[in-house]
Amino acid sequence: MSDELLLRSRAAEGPLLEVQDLHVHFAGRGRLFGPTPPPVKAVNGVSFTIDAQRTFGLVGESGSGKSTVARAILQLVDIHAGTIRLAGDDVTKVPRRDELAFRKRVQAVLQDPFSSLNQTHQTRTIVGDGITRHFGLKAGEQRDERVGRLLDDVGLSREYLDRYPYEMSGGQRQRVSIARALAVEPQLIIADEATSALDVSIQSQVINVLREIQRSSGVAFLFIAHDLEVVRHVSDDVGVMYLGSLVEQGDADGIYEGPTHPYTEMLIASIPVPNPTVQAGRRALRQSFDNDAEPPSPANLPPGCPFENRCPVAMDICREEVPAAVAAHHGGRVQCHLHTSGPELGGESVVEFITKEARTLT
Amino acid sequence: MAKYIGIRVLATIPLLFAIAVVTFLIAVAMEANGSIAGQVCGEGATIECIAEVEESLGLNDPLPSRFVSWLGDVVQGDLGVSLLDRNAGVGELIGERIWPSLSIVGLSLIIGISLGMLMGIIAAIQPGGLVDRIFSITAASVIAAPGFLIGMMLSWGIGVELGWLSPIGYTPFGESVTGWFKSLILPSIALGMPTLAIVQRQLRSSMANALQSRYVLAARARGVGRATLIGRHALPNAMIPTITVIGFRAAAAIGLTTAIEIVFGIRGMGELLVTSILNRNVTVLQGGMLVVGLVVATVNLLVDISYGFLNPKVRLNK
Amino acid sequence: MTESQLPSEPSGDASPAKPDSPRRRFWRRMFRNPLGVFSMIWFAILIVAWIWPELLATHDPFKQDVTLQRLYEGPSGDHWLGTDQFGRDFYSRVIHGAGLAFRSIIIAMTIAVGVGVPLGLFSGWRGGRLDRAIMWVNDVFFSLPIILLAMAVIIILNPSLDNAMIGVGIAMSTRFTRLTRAVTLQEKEELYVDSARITGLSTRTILSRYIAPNLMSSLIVQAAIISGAIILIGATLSFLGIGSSLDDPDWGVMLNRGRELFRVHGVWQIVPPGGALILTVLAFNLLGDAIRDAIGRDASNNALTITKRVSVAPASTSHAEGDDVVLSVRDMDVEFPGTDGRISQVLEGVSLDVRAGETLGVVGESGSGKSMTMLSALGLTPAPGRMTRGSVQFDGRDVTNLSEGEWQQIRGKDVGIIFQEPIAVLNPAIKVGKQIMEPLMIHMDMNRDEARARAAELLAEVRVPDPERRLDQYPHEFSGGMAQRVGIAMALACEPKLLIADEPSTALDVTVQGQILDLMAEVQQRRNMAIILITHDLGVIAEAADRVLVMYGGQVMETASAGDVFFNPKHPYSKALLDTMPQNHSGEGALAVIPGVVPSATAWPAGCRFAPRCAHAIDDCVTTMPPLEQVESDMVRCLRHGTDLVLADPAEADA
Repeated sequence: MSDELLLRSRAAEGPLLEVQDLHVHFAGRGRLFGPTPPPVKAVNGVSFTIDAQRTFGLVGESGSGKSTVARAILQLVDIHAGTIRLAGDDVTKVPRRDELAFRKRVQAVLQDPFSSLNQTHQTRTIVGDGITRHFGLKAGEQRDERVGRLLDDVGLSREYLDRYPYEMSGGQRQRVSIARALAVEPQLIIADEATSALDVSIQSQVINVLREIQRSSGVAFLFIAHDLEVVRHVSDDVGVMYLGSLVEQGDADGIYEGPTHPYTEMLIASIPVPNPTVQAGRRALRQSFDNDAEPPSPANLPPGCPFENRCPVAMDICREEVPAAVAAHHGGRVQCHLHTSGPELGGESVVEFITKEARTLT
Repeated sequence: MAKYIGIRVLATIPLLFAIAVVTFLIAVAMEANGSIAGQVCGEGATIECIAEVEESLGLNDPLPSRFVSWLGDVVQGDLGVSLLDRNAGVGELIGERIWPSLSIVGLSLIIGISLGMLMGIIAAIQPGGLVDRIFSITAASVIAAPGFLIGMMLSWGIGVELGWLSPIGYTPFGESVTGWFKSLILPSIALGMPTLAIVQRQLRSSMANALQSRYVLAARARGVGRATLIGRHALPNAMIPTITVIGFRAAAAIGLTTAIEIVFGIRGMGELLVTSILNRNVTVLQGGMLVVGLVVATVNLLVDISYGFLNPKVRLNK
Repeated sequence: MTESQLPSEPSGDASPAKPDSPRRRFWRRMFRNPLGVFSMIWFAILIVAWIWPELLATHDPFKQDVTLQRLYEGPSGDHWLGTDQFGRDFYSRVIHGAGLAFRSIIIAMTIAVGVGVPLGLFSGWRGGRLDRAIMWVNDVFFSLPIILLAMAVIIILNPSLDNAMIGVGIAMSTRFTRLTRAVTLQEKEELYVDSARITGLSTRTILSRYIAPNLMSSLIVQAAIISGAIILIGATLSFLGIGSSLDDPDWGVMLNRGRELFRVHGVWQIVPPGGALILTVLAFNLLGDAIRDAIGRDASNNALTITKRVSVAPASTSHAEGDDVVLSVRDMDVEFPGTDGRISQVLEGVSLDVRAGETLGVVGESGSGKSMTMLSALGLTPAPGRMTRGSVQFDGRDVTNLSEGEWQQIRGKDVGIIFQEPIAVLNPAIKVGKQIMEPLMIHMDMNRDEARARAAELLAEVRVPDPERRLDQYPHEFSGGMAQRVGIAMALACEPKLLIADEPSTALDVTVQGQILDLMAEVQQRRNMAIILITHDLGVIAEAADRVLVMYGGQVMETASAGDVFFNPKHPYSKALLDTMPQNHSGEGALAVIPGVVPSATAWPAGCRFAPRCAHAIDDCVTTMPPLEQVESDMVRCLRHGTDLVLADPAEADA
């Protein structure tokens, strides 16, 4: 991509990242001689936007497709359908010759601090590789100085320049990962379960580093995690994924306080609060969701709403039709039939309705 | 399970076809490297003789049609006649020679696998213990010795010096069952010793892995006793990689038995193959290779089927 | 941005001690291993014999001496290894043979590596159908006997050792293809390769600087072992007469000559070449083993290795009294001898009690020793660890020094354990039903049918749908949540008095976690069972625990009722842990943190183990180890407890 193009895209109005109707399928892996199993539909029509300097949190359980969304944006998996735009430029499938320019704009911090760094390289190389690649600064004192400044930014002393990954703790490694992402001065950083593997005391250290960096550099974040509490804390907006669908999205606090999708409500109710008194009350709410059904396989999705078999307030229509996205009270959108059929909640919170229904059920 | 076996049997067909192609191409390549007909007709061959041989072997036809007609004959069990003795059918020649070879390979595998497994399990119980260390050193030394060398030492030690068994020769099964068995003992031990060592090493290391697993710890936490932990929990899982190794070793033993046969003066497949190579006796070689390939394919099939028994994932997903 | 705004990471002493560089550690281990030294020396000799055999040989290997008394000679001052049937010097022939052997390795290995590694890299990196097609063809060749493949090449190209080695090289390339592809496939999936792609590094850079170094170690090990195999095959072919020509000082040819003679002229005729052959192959195999050992860590212990008994020093405090005390641990120390001689003390003075009907929550960060506490209390200390002090009472009985056999009577019967990874703890090769039946048949004297019926009941009890069908399934057919229910069913099978749950819901999705916790609570009520719940999640503790044990650095920091830990923590660590949870964070601004990292078990701080990270530490805390003090029914390990220390109540506002 030429500088001119870059300049034009920077000037363009609108969101920084725009994901539209994203579908990602994984082909089934058969034997050399034999039938191919049906594809796994990991992401099924996901749309969301992230504005510059904002954080969008993507939350969901294992198998929800949240990491696949990240990998699709990062060009690590093939996209089946849909478009991705970065500041107006179509980056759905970045051609080879533009890849370097694209990589400079989008960076990532990945989950496992023990496997996301090359064991055979020192910090100066891990962080410096990107500087060499994108700014042409060869290894040496000048580059070390630049890496050193990045280490300052993530709260590591310069002694860590010549540390190998195995000489660092999980939290320190994750700081190095952040420095590596920052090194190319990107517009967007995707943090895919970046704090999930860390102990709670270390997790909060790393989250603070991320927030501080956003404040100082203005980079936008796509923050992916399974822990709704953490996501809520770091995000401006939140999207909730279930089996490849973005079932609800909107303002972080708005969603947390008034979820409009039963699954979001189930997720919130499932997080135990570190307070025995409060938690005793929440247990009842959580138990209203208890049923022993397992989520369907993403290779064989039901015709209707994917959450239907676990939903305590499912209706007939939920078995037949995939719900369309409608506007929700928190300014976002929700995909649930409750808002247009049955109680016709019209985008309001489902908490009251579910509590009432659950009480009549038991 | 029946379905799984059926699929595995069908999957062997492409392998057999590949072996047939390779065997056929070997003959073609040999031809390119020196006239077979010239070999058959001997020195001072007449043009007529060569033309006649080439005609009778169909060497003048295009390759694909030659392959098809050759394969057709092979499938019907017709492997042609020896180039050196036009009265000797390759099928009969191999039929005579294959039984000593199969007997040695079979008995060597029985010895190697059973003792190797036993020693592997024993060593895995106390890794780093005295028994483990003795076994490890023995296994390492035995693996380093070729079977034919072990054979010579056995022939000398037990055959010549001690005189317990005949140092040489083979008694056919039809002549005397005990004689047959006795004549097999030394060659089979010679061929089986490296097998034993390989199986022992593999099983010891995969048993050690299995015994380190969470499910063994969990079973121990349920009060499961030592013997059950080793025999029922660790062994089936440790056998999966071991079976793979046994399969390769079985295939290798089929090749290595040639040298053992020569040490003990047994007229088996090995001797047949080696003399055919030296005499450039193409038809016999082709037949021999094909039969050996068939045996290897059978071994592979057996290995695949045992996977199915040991690994439910393999059996249920395919 | 200034540094002071940031939670910064202290460097130096608080971080793990800097270990050796991998390269130095590798060579140190190689030279410390006598077999490794032997194999390296042997390797050097082979190279010399190949390049400059005259340097080592004493005679011309071809020079015959047919004077009768010089044939079949034994070892002498002139002929160190004797002579053969033509009176040629065995020692010199063996040396020249070593050169030939090394030459074979070079030829075969060049082809094997040259073909196998690029093909494996290509196939593994590319993936997809082409990869599977390549690997199918590769596996066909892989499964054929190498001798046969070598014969095929000899047939085509005429018998000679070099031609045979071309065949061997092609055959061996399949080994390298397989290995390279497997490593490439595995490395390709690693996050650090993704990270490199995201950074924008080119494929060539990734292959050469990321994949290749990780491939190298496996390749070298493989190459050493295959070199041995190449020599064996070369010798076999020469022995068969289709390798080296009959005059060459090739070990295989010499053995073939010996074969014709040893029954008559004595076994010595095969000893020099045979010995050289065995030692050389052995040296290569040992070289491979030594390299592997020097690269990796040793795995000489397994779950069955029961550590040698050491005398356990008695506890200095007495056990809790009362009929309802199910498990009582006092002053337990557990040590692990390290490879470098240093001892890690992973548990120090751990004491705990749990009573019938009560749930004791054990909370702490990774490395705090919470799982080790439970394993050691049940005699399951993983080797080479050992309990060196303390006393354990189970159901009123002293179990500190029970034998493995005696423990087998208790484990699974009176105490059940649920583990963190529900699928990994199920044996993949055994039907789930049989695994549940196991404790029933061992401890309850049930026969097969009774046990099966009871197993079905148990599955129904833990709400696994369709239990009869599930009994006949294998673990891989279960989801994590369902597998954990099976884990609970197994732990509960014999109606234990105590259930130990080690992070039972951590590996599960949060919506399944609640179901598992509810299930445990339900069963506890029905059976008045004691539960020890180990977790790092204070939320889980709040949900399920009656009493709480807070651990840090292998020590108990505080025990208290659940209410006290949350609303009135006595130890600064408990308080700090609560503060760092995002749920306890109100408003904007940075999250509360505990600075620094958990110290390593080989280098505990001298004083209080939490002191370096503690916001309330005073000078004494750094130098003096605080004792675990009894405060009413609770315990706390803090010098400043009972002084002027005030820990604010984090959760009071919500209560």
